[in-house]
Amino acid sequence: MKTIISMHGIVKKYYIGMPNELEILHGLDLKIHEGEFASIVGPSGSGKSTLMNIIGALDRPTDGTYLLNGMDISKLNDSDLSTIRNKEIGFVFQNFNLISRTNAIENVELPMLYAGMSKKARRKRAEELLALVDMSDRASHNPNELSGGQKQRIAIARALANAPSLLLADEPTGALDSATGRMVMDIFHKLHRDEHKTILLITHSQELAAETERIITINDGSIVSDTGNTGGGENVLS
Amino acid sequence: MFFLENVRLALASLRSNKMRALLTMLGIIIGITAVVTITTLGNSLKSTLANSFNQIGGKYIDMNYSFKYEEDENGEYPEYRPMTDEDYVTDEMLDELEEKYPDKYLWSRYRHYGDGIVINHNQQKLNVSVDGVTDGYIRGDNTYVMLEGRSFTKDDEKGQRHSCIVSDVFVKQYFGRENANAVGCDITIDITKGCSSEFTIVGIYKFPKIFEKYSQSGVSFMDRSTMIFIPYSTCNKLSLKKDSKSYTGSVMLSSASYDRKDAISELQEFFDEKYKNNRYWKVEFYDPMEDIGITTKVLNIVTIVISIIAAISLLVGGIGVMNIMLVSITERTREIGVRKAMGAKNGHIRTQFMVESMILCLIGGIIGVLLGLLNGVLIKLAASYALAQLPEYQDFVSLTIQPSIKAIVISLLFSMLIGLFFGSYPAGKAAKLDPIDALRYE
Repeated sequence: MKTIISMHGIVKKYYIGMPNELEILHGLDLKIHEGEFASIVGPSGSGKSTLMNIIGALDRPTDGTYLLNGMDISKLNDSDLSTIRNKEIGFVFQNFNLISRTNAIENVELPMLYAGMSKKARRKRAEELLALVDMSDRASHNPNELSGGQKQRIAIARALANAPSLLLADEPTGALDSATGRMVMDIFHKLHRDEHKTILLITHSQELAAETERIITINDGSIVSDTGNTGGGENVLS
Repeated sequence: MFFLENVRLALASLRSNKMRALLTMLGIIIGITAVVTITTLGNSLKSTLANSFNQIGGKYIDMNYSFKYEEDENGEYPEYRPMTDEDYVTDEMLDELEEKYPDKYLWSRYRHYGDGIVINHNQQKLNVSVDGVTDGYIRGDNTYVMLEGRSFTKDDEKGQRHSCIVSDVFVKQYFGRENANAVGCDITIDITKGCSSEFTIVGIYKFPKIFEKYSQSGVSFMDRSTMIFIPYSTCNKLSLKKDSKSYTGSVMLSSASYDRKDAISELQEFFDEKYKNNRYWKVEFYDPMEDIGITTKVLNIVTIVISIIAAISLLVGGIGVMNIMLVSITERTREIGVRKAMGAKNGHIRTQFMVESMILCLIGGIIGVLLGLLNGVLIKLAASYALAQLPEYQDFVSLTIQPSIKAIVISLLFSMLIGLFFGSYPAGKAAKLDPIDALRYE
């Protein structure tokens, strides 16, 4: 099975060399394989956001190696990180983060625009993706004309735009009521089951995490438990 | 491709904040309006000047008498003496020149014959002034406009014919109406202290409004006296006072195809020879175009200087644009974060905001150009109104409003340059935003 994420000894420090130097992550090891639906859980302040930023190539680790789909991205520059985010990662945020003033289909096209696809190809792919999340009839609506659940479905379609190796969902149901949250989770399950997407769910909710195949619990900057038997064989507490 | 996408984005962003965009543009609009208005004004003055000159046909050569302030062989300068009759160009000189260069020069020659009376069919006495003139006098400048018929020809001159050119005022006085088919009719003129003689009307000129104003106001229509022109040679033949001199003051080329510079040096050479033995006076020829050239240069400099002053207001406008771009970027920090998370590189973000700032300035520039052109139209209306108050000058001045295309293009490019310059700092700031901080921004 192909390995999507391979992290070894990941350390993240802030205010390096200053009196208030802060170490958030203390040498994490993590492996995620293709087609996995895993969740990272932990209370706030546990370092899961920092870990997510590193996994999502928004940030670089202070130390350690991070291979994403076989590429070492811990030492890349800003421009190369942008390319990685564009091609390899699909972000789904808690508060949707759709761009206002641009309609649904243009939001879905955004990653393809930065990938340099032609307008025609973009439009065709965006229409397919909107159909996948059952939002075809809202293609020309602006975000402020959509409900929370609809916005999140558009955001999922956008995350899938460049067929990324990893779907990174940060509290995707956090801003939704339980019914719409359920619907969004169903989409993730469907994508995992039917499209064999690799999905990493970041949440503080044990309940939500329980729906996934593998639960990685993080506390105080270290992984405290990992239910997956494929997690590199280095379960800290086992 | 990507550029067009950015233009679309920029327009969408400006649309969502119309009032703010307009206020931001105001500085640019005012600056560009001022520049375009000033250059339009300068350009219009230039072309009005050139047009007025071209009405004469570009064939006119100026002639001046000037005092010879030159050393003689003893190193002494002549003492100033006013012009006397022998210092003027004589008919003999002109006849000689005509022989040397046949049909090349049209001399304006004028001789007052006398005041006369013409009696019309109703036995009304019409006062006229009879003057002997050459074709060059009639067509020499744009004082006289021929309405019907023709000016004098070589045959009129050589044959000392009894042809005459009368004014439109005279036609109305004599025939009692306008459009009287007067050309070809014979009239008898009684010259006071002279003889009476019959003349055939060959042409009708428009009596200049400027004469009407200054010499005919308060005179009843039938008592107005206008000029009847007869050929210069005919006048010489009929004139009783053989010694009366005619003074010649200007010369025209018979065709615009002659080279003006050559003609001027040819004339200068000819008359230098004629005035060789005149200790006091000489004749000088020069090109009136040179005066226009100097005026045009002065106008150009004034236009450029005022435009530069107006352009300073563009800098102020540019600072306003920078200010608003900084505000806009702060407002859209989160959007920038999302774009970066979706794979936008720093360059993409930079381009997006640069294009937005340039579009903002360009739209301001376009509005400014349109307002500037509108000002041009308003200036034309105002000038036409002012001119309408002075009807006697209407024959001489034809207004042309000519916007300067060069200035418009430069203005638009300059406004985009301002967008580029003042947009680069905010755009750079946007591009350098950290995606994590930007995404977390509330």
